[in-house]
Amino acid sequence: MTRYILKRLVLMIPIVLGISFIIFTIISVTPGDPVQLIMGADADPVLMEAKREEWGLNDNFLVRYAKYIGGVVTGDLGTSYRTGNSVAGEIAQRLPKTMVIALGGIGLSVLVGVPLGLISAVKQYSFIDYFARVLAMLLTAIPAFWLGLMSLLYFCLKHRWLPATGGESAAGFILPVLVLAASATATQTRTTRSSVLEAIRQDYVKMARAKGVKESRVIFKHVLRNSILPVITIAGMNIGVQMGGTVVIENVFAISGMGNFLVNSVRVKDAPAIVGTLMVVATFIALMNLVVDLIYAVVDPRLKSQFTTTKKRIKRHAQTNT
Amino acid sequence: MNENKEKLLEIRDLSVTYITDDATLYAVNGLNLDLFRGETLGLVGETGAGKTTTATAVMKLLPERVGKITSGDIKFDDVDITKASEAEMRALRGRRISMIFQDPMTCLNPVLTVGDQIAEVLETHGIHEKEALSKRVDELLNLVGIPSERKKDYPHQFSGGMKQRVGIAIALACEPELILADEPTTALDVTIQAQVLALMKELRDKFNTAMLLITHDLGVVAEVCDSVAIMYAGEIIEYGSVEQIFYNDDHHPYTKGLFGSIPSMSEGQRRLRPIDGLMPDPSIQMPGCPFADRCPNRSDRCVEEKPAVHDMGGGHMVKCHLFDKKEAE
Amino acid sequence: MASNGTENVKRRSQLASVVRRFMKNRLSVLGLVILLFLMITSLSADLFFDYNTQCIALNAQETFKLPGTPGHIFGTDQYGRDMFIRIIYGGRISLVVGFVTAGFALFFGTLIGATAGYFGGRIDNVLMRIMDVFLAIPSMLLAICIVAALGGGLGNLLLANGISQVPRYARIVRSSVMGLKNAEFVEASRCYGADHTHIIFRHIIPNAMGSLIVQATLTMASSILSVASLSFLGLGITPPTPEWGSMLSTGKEFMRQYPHLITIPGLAIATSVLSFNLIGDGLRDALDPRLKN
Repeated sequence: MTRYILKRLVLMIPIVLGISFIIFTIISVTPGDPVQLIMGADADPVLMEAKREEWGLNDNFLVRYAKYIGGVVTGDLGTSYRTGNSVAGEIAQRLPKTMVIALGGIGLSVLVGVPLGLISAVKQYSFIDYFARVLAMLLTAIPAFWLGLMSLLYFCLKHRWLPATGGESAAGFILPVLVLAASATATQTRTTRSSVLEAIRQDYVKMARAKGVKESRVIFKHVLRNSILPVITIAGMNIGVQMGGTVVIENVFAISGMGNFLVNSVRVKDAPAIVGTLMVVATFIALMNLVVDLIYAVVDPRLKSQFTTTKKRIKRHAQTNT
Repeated sequence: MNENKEKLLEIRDLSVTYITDDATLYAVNGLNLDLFRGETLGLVGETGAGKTTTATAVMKLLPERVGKITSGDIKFDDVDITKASEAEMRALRGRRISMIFQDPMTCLNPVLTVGDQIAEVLETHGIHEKEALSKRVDELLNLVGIPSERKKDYPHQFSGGMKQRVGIAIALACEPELILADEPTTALDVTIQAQVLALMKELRDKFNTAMLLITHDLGVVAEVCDSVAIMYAGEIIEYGSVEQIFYNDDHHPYTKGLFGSIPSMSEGQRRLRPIDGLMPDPSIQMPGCPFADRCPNRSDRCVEEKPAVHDMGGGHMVKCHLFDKKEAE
Repeated sequence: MASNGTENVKRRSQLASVVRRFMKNRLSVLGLVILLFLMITSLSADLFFDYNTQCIALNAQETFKLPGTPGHIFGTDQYGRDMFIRIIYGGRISLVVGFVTAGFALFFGTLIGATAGYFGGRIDNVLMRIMDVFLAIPSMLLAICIVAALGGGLGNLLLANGISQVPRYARIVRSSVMGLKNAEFVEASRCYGADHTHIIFRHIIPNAMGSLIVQATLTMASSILSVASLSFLGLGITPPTPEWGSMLSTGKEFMRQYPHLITIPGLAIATSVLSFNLIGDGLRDALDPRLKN
């Protein structure tokens, strides 16, 4: 099992490097001069040229990439053209805030979405079912930034119950997390519902009932254990989507998180900042995917066999071969 | 024929309907059936005849909103199943009436061990103590020919035949009085079929369990059953002991067709002799005999009037107009 | 050949029953109605309104009119432009975004998926790994990257969106092709060349069609959302083009006193996305009714 984890962690490196190369390339070879964007088109050309030298923009792009990677290996993610600070430092400051929102949103969506989807499926066609489905439908259609603005308007400006600028205090995180969780919960409810509905139809459920098992036990022991698997997979895939969502949320609630940083960097083609941020995000997503895969393997015994070493497998096979 | 035996299951005029958004299906229409203690009754018919529906109705496990018992009575020993509450049914299921499912691949939960699933039926019906459970599970596995160490394995680690044996172990766990076996060998290879059938026979004899064996295979019927009921389009159209069904001369035209369509090993045969036509559309309720369309002996009366059940002597019953005058005294 | 005839009859009646099931579902019909309304208003807008006179001409007197004032059902914005007209013209952009993105993704996705499925082996491996990498990148972030590289504007946005959606279609088509490849292989020894591909195209399209259409409606919904989000961030379509997301972005400043500047464009976005989702769900249920009960 540990070997598998190590293998996956090692595999992440080329992927993250690959992403960094692609992004670096895209930014470097496309039009747009960061010096101009940051200093303005009318700045003193001498100063502009000096900046170009400082940022190494006159070098060949492969050379720049090599230098950049050299820095990354030692933990130096470069210096932001825009702020002049170390990219690693900027990210370190902002990462916690983004994490709180992202993880809070995902966590909440699972806590609310899974039970709601389960009830919706078990009590199909009931009031709760219709309510849950309508709610999910509406929440997926409403843009997160709109929901954010509306709640900002109502809770912060009209009634001063919560701070308008999020990210400063604990209360400031309530609305951002809720808004992010909103559409994630909708997706989670739907996925859980359809997964449970499919599991309920299976023969082994009929078999369990034929044994005289109580319905509640049938649901929790048989249906839930099986339907949770696709739910976990989709939740994992959803994490990426949620990361995208935080960008918008941070903008609406004026939170100085990574999303905000990224958007501002993109506006001026601040290459080190862009690449650095995206690499961190990619690493985070890859780690979450690994966690999801591990949970999956623990829950589904059919996958467990993939992780036992060959030696153990042969031994067991010899024992039970009848 | 059955005068000395005790009646265990009595079904009278049972009708079951499936109501879906698209259509209404009359799966079982006025079915009458008797099963006696210790007896193995073969319920024979083509796919779609309503055999599985009948068994599911006896267990009261019809799909919730869609399946309904629209009329009739089912009596199991002293329990009126049609009127029984869900709690009463749960006490029966797995304990006094068990079911063996057709497809061993899908009827076991893939994320639970086999031992766990056998233990489940024992726990549901009273045995809670860990030691006793474990012992009983081992016993049952050995009974069906599976080494008891395998109770920690998961279903996907077993072959089809072994999975079906597990199904049998679960069905027998509480030593029920009646087993409903829904085509237990259909999904298996022929060689495994023979093994599993032999096992079932052995265990049935050992525990004197009554069995309703649903099948479309007359060979299986000959091997295992004491009596046979032939089902067509939701009705029983012929009933009798195995000898009567296999050896008597007078039969329902459908039964004749069934036997006739079996390719012969002894005579030379150039073409198969199927029964012409298809089973009637289950969404239409027919006023007359359901087989009328395909019957070579059809008369006008058959289309309009449902035939009565005629006793051919010794308990051999045929539901056909042909035998109106031929009733034995 | 008899088989062709019976197949066509089968397919026609299948289509009829799918349509029938779809129409029975009230919510999906609602979605369809909304979409049709949207399309009709966008297409016929030029007949009724003259965008130039009614929107571009800045009219200081008309600013910030509330919804319900005569002549301006949805009110006016900070420059005196009629909101109702802007919404309709914004609708045009959203529809274009939806259809073009779906078309783009459908085309390239099918191409890639069919190639991967048909040739299998290394080509399949390489193509699918690339698809996986793109699937792993959150579409919002991918879009931001492409905007970072190429700048904003409608064309680049469509490209960004389209690229992020391609992998899904590639997967659907690929699995269809692979499934059939194995089935038809039995005949492969006899039927080679044109016959083989002919059969495959005859069968892929009906088989995958269902999932592809459902996916297309969902793509349209999500691309409207994503373009609106990007424009809101200032990375997409910039003012004064009447795009719903950018309308929200500029209206943000005044939302305290004039909430209609953000509520109305937001409702427009939600309604159109909802209609596509309803249609997509309805299609999914109609194509595989077993899933409902």
